[in-house]
Amino acid sequence: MPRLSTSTSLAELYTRYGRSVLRRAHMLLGDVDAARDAMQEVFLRALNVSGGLDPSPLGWLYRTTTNLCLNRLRDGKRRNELLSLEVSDDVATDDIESRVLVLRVLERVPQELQDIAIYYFVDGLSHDEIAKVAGVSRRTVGNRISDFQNLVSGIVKQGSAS
Amino acid sequence: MIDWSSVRRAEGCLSDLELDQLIADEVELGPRRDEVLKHLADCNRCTTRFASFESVRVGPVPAFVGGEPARLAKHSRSSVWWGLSGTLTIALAFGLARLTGERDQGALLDQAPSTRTKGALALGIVVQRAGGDIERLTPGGLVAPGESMRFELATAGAGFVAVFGLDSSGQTTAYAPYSGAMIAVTSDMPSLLPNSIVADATLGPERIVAFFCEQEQPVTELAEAARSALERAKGNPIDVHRIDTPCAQADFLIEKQGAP
Repeated sequence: MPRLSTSTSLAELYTRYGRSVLRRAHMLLGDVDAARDAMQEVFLRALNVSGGLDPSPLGWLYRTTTNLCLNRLRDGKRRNELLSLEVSDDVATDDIESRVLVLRVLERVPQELQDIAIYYFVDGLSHDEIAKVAGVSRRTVGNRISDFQNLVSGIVKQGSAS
Repeated sequence: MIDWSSVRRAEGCLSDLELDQLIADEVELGPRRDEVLKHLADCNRCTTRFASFESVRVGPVPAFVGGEPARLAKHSRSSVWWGLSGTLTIALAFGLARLTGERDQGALLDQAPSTRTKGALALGIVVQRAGGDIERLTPGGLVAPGESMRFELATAGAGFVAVFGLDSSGQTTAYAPYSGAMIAVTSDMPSLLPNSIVADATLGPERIVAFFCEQEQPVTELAEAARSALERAKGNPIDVHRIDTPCAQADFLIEKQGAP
């Protein structure tokens, strides 16, 4: 198992974390080629991190991958793929419907709420984990989740009324 | 009204980040590592997710990252994932979700090196070394007498399985089940077969053969088919290939060497 050190090469980083980045990009983009392309960009960005990466760079990789993929989805080219995003088989069927609902409304909420919502509802991260990955306070995480829930509840109500 | 509690993964289940941290052996997991491992031991859902995460293959390091410094801060770590012992690690160490992984990850997967698969069946083997370390076996992997092995099978559906060992002394041994009827599998989920087998003192190559049958077959008939195949190969397990049965077959050649 490679260990991080001052002499760790980007190739080593790729070997150790590549599958996490690729899996994440694939989950968000729903397309293997697009996911590989995103993965490549994430590792290229790692080259340019001022001061070097943290010895536990997974949080940075999560954040960078998520932002990159959301930006690409936001560009509109893959908007439809967000709507048809498949949730993996590791959740019960009734969970899947609810999670897909979350994903479908994601694009209708502000970006700062999207990221947090994905970490919380899709990745299952705790508030503490989200705070670390997103680089915000735990309180901000709680507030944004609450804002997201309120916003989505409003959207769902609107949908029901109409 | 949205039931937000149903939107998240089941309470208590591990987050994606924790699973990725385990796979990368990240120091960040820290003291929570033991809790995470204990949860994995008890939770089939998380174990399957973990295997699915592990089964993603990114391919060789591309040219654009080769040799470039990543400028990482220095940090020392204490524990090593593979230093763990016991059933938990055995369960986790497999490339166990070969078939499930294909369904979940699609083109992200390459052939898992620790898994041999033919048709509707995939076979994985994990060995516990004399010192307690747990390792995945790759085809041709070494096993010493006295070391124990466990088998995991992933099948394409419901049916019946059995595992045999064909060794270089010309013997065919039923490993699972030891006796009685074939083992029923009820879904396409990977399953760790109960009990371990201890490698005996017969050195040389040994072919581990697993069968998956849609209809239950008498174990004695499968054993006889395996024995006949080994006999036709003049007792050399290396030369045993397709065994004549109505079942899907997966096999794994190991090499028994040295003292325990």
